[in-house]
Amino acid sequence: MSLVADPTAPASPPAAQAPLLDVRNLSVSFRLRSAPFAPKRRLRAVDDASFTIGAGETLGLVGESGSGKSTTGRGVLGLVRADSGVVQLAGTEVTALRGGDLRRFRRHAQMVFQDPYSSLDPSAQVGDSVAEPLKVHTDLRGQALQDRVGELFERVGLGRQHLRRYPYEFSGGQRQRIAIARAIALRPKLVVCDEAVSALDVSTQNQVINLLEDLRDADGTSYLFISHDLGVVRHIAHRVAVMYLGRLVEIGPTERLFAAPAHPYTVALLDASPVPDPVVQRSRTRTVLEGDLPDPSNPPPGCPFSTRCPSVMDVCRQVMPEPVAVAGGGVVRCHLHTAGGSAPAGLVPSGAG
Amino acid sequence: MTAIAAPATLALDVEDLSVEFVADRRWVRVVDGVSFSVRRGETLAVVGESGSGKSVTNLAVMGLINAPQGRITSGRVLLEGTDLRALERRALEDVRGNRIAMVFQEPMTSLNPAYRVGDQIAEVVRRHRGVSRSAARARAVEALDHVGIPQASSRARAYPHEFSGGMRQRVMIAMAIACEPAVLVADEPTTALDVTIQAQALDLLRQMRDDLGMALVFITHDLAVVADIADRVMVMYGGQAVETAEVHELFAHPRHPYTEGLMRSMPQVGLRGRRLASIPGQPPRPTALPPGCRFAPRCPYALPKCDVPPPLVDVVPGHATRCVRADELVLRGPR
Repeated sequence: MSLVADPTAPASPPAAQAPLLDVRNLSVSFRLRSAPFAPKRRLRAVDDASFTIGAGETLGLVGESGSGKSTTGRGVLGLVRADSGVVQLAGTEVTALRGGDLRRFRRHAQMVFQDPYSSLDPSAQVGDSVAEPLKVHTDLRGQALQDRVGELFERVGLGRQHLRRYPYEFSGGQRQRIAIARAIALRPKLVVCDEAVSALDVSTQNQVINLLEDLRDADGTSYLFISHDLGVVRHIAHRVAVMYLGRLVEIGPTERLFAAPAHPYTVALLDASPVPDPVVQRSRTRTVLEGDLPDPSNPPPGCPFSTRCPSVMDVCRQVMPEPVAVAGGGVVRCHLHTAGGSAPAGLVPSGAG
Repeated sequence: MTAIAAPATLALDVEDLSVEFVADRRWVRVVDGVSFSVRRGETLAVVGESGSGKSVTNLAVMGLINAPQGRITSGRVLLEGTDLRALERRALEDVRGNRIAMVFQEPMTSLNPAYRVGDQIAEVVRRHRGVSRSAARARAVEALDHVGIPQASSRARAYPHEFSGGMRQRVMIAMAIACEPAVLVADEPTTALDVTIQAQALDLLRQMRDDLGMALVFITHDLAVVADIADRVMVMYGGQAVETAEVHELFAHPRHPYTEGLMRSMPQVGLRGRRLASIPGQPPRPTALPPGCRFAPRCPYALPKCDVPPPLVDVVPGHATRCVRADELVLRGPR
């Protein structure tokens, strides 16, 4: 399932049959700690999110801080308890697993975090950090284990001579390679990458993105690729989901979403992302959103984006729009699409290409 | 955009600045002979990756390199004609926050969490302007209003934690501009912000620069932000300036292979399914710099003659590069 054959063709995800990951109506909330006798409040971090990821497919998940993208990733792996909804991975209902079953399931779904310096044990040799999941989940021991760890190091572009070193001896990009080696050690079906390249410098960031794509193409691994960087997501993802204040507001094929975004928030995100070309960047007419994300513990009624939306209507402040199919693929939750059927002119971002 | 040609007076003129830090019990040079200047109303972007020396350069400009771990070994820092390096500590403090001010990446660590934001800004005003408490407080509210904090007079009584990240960065900018400085140094001021908030912050910095006629030194790793805000650009690598040019010229005709590598590495440029360009290897450590051109070990165009340290020379007026092959190479920008 090489994507390299025709580099310009936007390769569609290889799996059209049952998706590898099926998330339905996932909601996750956290209890807010407030004053001792204050009424208990809950923060809805993820509210009624539904999406799928096929085998070998990469779904980009974008949104700003506090939008719930990381919590969605954790919910998918069973690292946070869902309030409601169902997460199925390769037929296993993750949301129903508890205790040992959940631990044994984890070999099928792994995570790569933003900061490999805090996700790798600073006092352990990196070889041992990568060997740990193999010790827990497999019978590999001794030389066979060492050989497998050495292979993993070579796969992520590090030599075996690095096995006995400590995390501080590596640069950020190398540490992220080690974190990836650990994540793929058990050949998981799904890897959740949570801002996995965000802390890296541009010149090393691309080395890691290329590595992730190579591994995907070789093993057919699926990625849930969480990032705030639309440029990176546009490159790596087959489809993109956009979150705002705990809600999935739009999802669709990457090409369509960037060329013809359907949700006003997606338009605003694309407008706000600067283009690395002064001629293009300075000739764009762009809408700069006013204000901030509302307080997630006290979301506005109706559509969560209604407080900042340039196209807001009365109905938006009262009713959460239902998902509607978008021409060109995907789904949007916006009254502009439920009311009239299609978005008004001018809802396509300027110069986002 | 600001005209480049006008021979306006230089707000900030830095010449041959070098900074060393102690590492492994010896002095290691982390900024090596950096020179740049900024006019009032102009924005200079300083671009580089982590460890390139871009932040240390500007800490040195602000007089914030302290013994015994660090020292400035050479250079002049002329702020409106006054050499800051020649000033006594007290005189330097009179200038800092007054004629030259700084905005940092993380506003939560630069604001005092225990004081109301209005009082923190008023303190700066009182220190430099010697006005009454009430006049200083009024100026603080004015500054908060200027940077677009709604209901500035009541928000001035709030504490830093009561603001969102974007609003906190506005508070930092209000504090920096409260005394109407000639030069504002902004070190990755939008890096911690979400993209829609970043767009607001860039617009705000631009507006403040124009309203107050400030010179803006904008330190960033993000070429897309440079494309948005800069008039001129200085690219740093391994503690040195490797290329300086007017922004359109730089993107259209980069003359240093490192600049080209950075531009070609922007993910927006690559198509999906196609491998992203990347620069092989890692940036050099200041303790183990290559003997010649510092980029040579990673440079696709390196030749034996690159083993000699190249000087920074003008290829065309206003466009300088530190590459001995500049005349023979045809390098490409992001387009």
